[in-house]
This record gives sequence, C-alpha cells and structure tokens, in this order.
Amino acid sequence: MDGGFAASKFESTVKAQNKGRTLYLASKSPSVPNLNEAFQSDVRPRISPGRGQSQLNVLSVTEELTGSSVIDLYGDEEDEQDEQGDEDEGENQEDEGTDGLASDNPRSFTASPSVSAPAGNISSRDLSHYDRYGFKKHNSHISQEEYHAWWDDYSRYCVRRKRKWQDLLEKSGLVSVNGVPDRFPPRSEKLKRYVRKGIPAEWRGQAWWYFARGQEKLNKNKGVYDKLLAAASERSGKASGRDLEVIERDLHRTFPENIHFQRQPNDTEEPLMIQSLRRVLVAFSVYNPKIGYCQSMNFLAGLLLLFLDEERTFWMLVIITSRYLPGVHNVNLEGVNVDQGVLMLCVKEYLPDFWPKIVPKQHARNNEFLYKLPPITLCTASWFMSCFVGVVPIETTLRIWDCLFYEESHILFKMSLSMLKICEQDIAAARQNNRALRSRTLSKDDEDIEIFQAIQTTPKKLLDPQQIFDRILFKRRFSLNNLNQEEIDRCRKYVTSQRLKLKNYADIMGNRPSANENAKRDIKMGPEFVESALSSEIYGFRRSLTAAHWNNSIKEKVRQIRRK
Amino acid sequence: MSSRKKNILKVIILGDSGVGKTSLMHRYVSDKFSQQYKATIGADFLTKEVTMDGDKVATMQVWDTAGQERFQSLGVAFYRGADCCVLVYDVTNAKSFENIKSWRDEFLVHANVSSPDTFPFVILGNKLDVEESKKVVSNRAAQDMAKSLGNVPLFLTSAKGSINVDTAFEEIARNALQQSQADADAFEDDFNDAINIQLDGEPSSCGC
Repeated sequence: MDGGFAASKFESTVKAQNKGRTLYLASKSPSVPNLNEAFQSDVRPRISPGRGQSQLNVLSVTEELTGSSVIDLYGDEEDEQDEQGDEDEGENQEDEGTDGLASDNPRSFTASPSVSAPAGNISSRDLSHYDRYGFKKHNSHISQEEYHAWWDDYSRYCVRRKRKWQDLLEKSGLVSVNGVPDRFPPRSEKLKRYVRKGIPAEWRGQAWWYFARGQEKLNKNKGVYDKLLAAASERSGKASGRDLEVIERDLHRTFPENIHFQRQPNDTEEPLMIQSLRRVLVAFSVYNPKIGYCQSMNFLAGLLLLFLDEERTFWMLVIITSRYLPGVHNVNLEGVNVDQGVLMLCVKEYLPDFWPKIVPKQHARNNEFLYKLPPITLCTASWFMSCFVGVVPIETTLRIWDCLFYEESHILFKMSLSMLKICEQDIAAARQNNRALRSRTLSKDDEDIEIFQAIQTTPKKLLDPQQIFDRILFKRRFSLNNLNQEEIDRCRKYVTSQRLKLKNYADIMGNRPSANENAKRDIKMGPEFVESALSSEIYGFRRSLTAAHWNNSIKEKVRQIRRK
Repeated sequence: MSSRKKNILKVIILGDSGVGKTSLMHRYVSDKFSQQYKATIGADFLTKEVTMDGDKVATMQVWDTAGQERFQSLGVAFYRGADCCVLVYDVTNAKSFENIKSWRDEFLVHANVSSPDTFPFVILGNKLDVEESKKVVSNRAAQDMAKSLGNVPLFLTSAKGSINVDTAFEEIARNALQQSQADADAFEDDFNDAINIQLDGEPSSCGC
C-alpha cells in the first residue's frame, strides 16, 4: 500500500524526467560562459552547442567578446579597475582600455552576474551577492566584508597571472583563439609552477581537459555518451532505480547557493544546469555499474559543468573516478579507505606531532590503524571523494583542481596534510588565546572535539588560496615536496595489500569453528590478531628511511621470532 | 554514583539519504532551517550544551551522517562509544521507513555496544509539515514498528516547521545520559575486578 504508492509516484517522476531528457538530448548544456545567456529564456535554443561540437561552444561565446578584456572576469568591483595599471608585472597595457566594456556588455564572457546581469529572469535578485561563478559570496563562515577585502587583492593577482600565462603561450608559439588557447606548452617545471599559481579562470575548462588528456578519451569513445543517454531513458526506473532516486534527491543539494543551479522565479523549467547534472550522473551510472552513483560525484560533476560542456564533463568524471581516485567511489568505498590509510601513513611521517592526537596509542602500535581507520578519516574521506568541492571556498577549490589535473592525485594528499597542519596551528592558537584552556589539561574527549571542530571549520574559512598554497603546500620548509605521485602509488599498493591481508585473515578466523565464542571474538578483535595478520613490513617513505623506521622493523622481526 | 562521569554525550543520527538528518541537527543545535543544505558526505557534527533535570549539564555531540548505503562502511569506527542512536525516516518516503530496522541492525553490528538489548534508540518521522496527501507512512504503522523494535520512543517531527524537535532531542539527551552512566558504571566494575585479580594473584613477572 504505502510502498506501492511511493513507487508509482517515483515512476511518474522518472517518466517526467525522461521526457525532459529526450527533449534536451541534443542540447547539452553549455559551460559557464554561456550561462548568463541561459537565463534569458529566449536564447535557450540558440546556446545548444550540438553534439560533438563542444569546441564551438567556447568559441561562439568568445567571438562575441572580441575586444573585451581579462578584467571582465576579475573586476566585479568597479572601483578597483582604475588601479590595474599600477601592477609592476603589467605588460599588456592594452587591457586597460577596455575596462568599461565589462559593465556595458551584458553578454560579456564573465560569469560574474554582477557585471553581466541580463535583463531577464534573475534581475530581481541582488546579483552583487554572487561571485563570478555564480556562487554566493558570503556564508556562515565568511562575511561579505571579508570576501571583498580578499577579492580586492586576489583579483589583481589573477590579472597578473593571466598576463604571465599569455606571455608563456606567446613564447611557446601557441596562439589563443579569441582568448582561449586550445593547446598548452609541453610539461615542464615552469609550466608546473604556473599551474600551481593558478590557471586563468576562463581557460580552466580547456586547460583541465587538456592536461587530463580528455580529448584522447573522447576520441576513443565517440558517440558513447549519447548512447548512454538513450540507454538510460529506456531502462530508467528499473536497473538503477536506487541510484536514480539518490541522484534525483541530490540534484538540488549540490550547489543550492549557486545561481546557475537555482530555479528562477519565472522559470517554467528546471535550470539547465540541473538537467545537465542529471544526465551526466545518470549516464555515468549506466556506464560504470561498479560505481553507479555515489554521493559526492554530484559535486564533481557540478563543478565541471561550470567550466565544461556536458559531454566533456562526463568524460572528465570518468577520468577522475578511474585515474585519479581509483575505487574511491565504488560500492564498497574500498578506494577511499585505502586512501585514508595512505593519508594516515603520511600524517605519521609528515606531521609527527599531530599523529598521536588522532590515532589512539593501541592502534598506532603496529599497522592496525590501516584497518581500523581513526574516526577523523570520516571527515577527511569527504575531502577525497569530492576533491575538496564544498570543503574549501571556491577559489581555493579551483586552485586545487588546477594542480590535480596537472600533477595527479598526490596533490590531494599534500593538500590534506597542509590542511591538517593548519588545523593543528589553529588549535594551538585557540589554546594560546584562551587562558582558561591554557591552564586546564583537556580530557581525551575534549581534545577529540577540539580536533573535529577544527577539521570541520578551518577548511571552510580558507577563502584565500595563498594562505595554504604559498604558506604551506609549496613551502620548502614543510618538505612536502618529497611526496610525489610515485610515492603515493607505492603507498596505495602497500595499504591495499595490508588491508586485504587483514580482511582475509579475519574471514578465516571468523569462519573457523571455535569452542569458545569469546575466544573467537578476541581473536577477531584483539591486537594479537592484528599483529599476526599484518606483517611486520613497515612502510618506508622514500626520503626518510630513517633510523627510527629501521629500528622499528628490526624490533618487530625480533618480536616475531621470539614468539615462535 | 560513578566517579568517572562522562560529560560528553555522543549521539549519532542515521537514516536514508534526504530524510532530513542535517536539517534536524541544525534545527536542534542552532534553531535554524535552510532549504540550501548540501548532501552530506562522510559526516558532520555539532555540539550543544544540555541541561537535564535542572542540574545535570553535559555536552551533546550530535553526528550527522551520509545517508547513502555505501557510506556505512566508512562509519564503522565512529559508531563506537555512541550513547544514543537516532533513526530518522521521512513520512513521505515509505522506503526510508522500511529501512529503519536495517539502520538499527547495522548500527548494532558496528557499534560494539555492551548490551544491544538495552541500547537506546529514538525514531524520528520527519517532514511532518508536508501536506497530508503526500504522507505515506501512517502513524499506526510507525507506532507498530517502534513497538516491535523494543518500545523505542517515536516522535513525528518537522525540522522545517520546528515541530517536536526539541522535545525529541530532550528525550534523546535523557536516554544518552542514562546510557553513558550505565556504561561508566560497567567500566568501574570491570576496573575493580581487574584490580582484585592483581591483588589476589602473584605479582606477575614483567613481560618482555
């Protein structure tokens, strides 16, 4: 009765969706440059990029922009534009003359609704509250004032960096067509440095696509995305009904604070972004049944959609979930558990003072923490699953993504370590500032809460990417530079095998008939078991096969021999 | 009374995706509601000072979890040490109601609680504010379920309309406090036993 009603209700929703899906099959939604137009309902048919022509998508927009400058994208505060000429690094003086265009041209390239508010549906809102990607500027962690104080500086930094990039491209003999390059220079230390300092916002989609070798993937899979969409509409509600339900629920819980994902007061249809997001996620669940739909992929796809068209978003999602984060979104989430184990090993190595605070002594003795992951990994897992989307403010997220596609997944580990480092500093500072706390010795419970609180709130305040990029992540003294992709891959293998060994052992012990239930239970949980299950091999970080590690592994061997 | 009085009450909210776990937590802790909550990945927590029976003060640590089934494999470690588990369903979603029992079982498997029969659960049927025609879980069915799970307290709530949320959490806090004291007493008993054994036996030679 009850169930039947819900099911039929769901079916009808699905049917309604299918209708929408078919309707828009040929109109994959555009990336952000077109979005402002998307709000003018009359241009909707016109902005459809058509299949396989995603390239045109960017071009058609930029054509309209000939002559408008980079400042369109960076100067959402009109009063700061006059000062651009002061920049010491500023060579492209011609940029200066076009400042005014930004606010006059409603179709400008900028995604900042504040300067390009179309006279359409969203005019009723105060667009100055939204940033250039359509995200709300302030929230419970960042005030409007803080935002503007930061943006005032950061927007100039972005302008400077863009000029540097333009120079680099010119010197490499690469031309940018209407402002957006379709190729980038070959990999080099210099290019890496440039990427780490941030890719110009309006090139991001193209750059991510290029560095992640998306075109290669797409060329091998021509037409696949459309077939998936067709397949999805045929069998929806059946095979992956469960996934569809969760997807549907998450569509509006992805970027509710982003204007492109919000239904406007006069809209008769759902926002295009929501429709695209649905199609990408549904297509993916058909494409990779091992993963289906995993919450957090909505954030990945949602952010990609702001920079790339739908088909490319889909393939980037495929690349992220297979190449960068293998197994992380699988039904058993084993990949994320492995990565948390790797992260814990890294914390032990790189943040030795923080380590004892997050891992209880009894689990730190051997590798038990790789199996019984400490509770903080429940929070850090989301950093990996959504690649920091929603964890840190948007500009910081985007800078991480720049590095992710150029340097691969080890950047997520470095970022997490840097974040934990900041948390550690925040906790220390808070204690320093609070006399009551300083004099009191905290109980373990209080300490745990303190750490959890820091891990939850500190990242949300990282409005300024420089705060973590310059001051921690790429700072020499923190020595994270030794942590490269090779190391992470090696570490992942190690953790995977350790977890597997332990699991197998647990299965065997658990299934063996035992006279004494309690004994069986003890074997299952006790440290002895873990010790015998996990070999004494201790992971050695390449740079730091220190005496301490060496000693530990000898000690361990001796202990084992003695036991025998 | 126990000397090892824990002043932190750990409460875990479980339930299907989208039933309103995050909303309930925010409504209770900061008396706010927003249509703009994002899907929870992993877990979030908030704390609130609670006063019970006029004088007992404790910090309630409320954990909000991801609802998608696969996330259960992440939660294993942090179920431990919970003092009360809140099971949430959505009155407009029959499936979420049917899953209540499996959420409870899942919790018991991983939480490793000392006595599963007496561990306190509280069931919340959320979204009471929606129009009558959309409700698919009858009060009767909910009461029957609560009874069958061992007379678990049941509250029909609305985080949006701020209906019954405080009342429900008062009950949750009371249950959590009771559980935490019971645990502390049990711990003390164990502890005393251990000492007795030591005193009775020969001092063991140091293990090397």
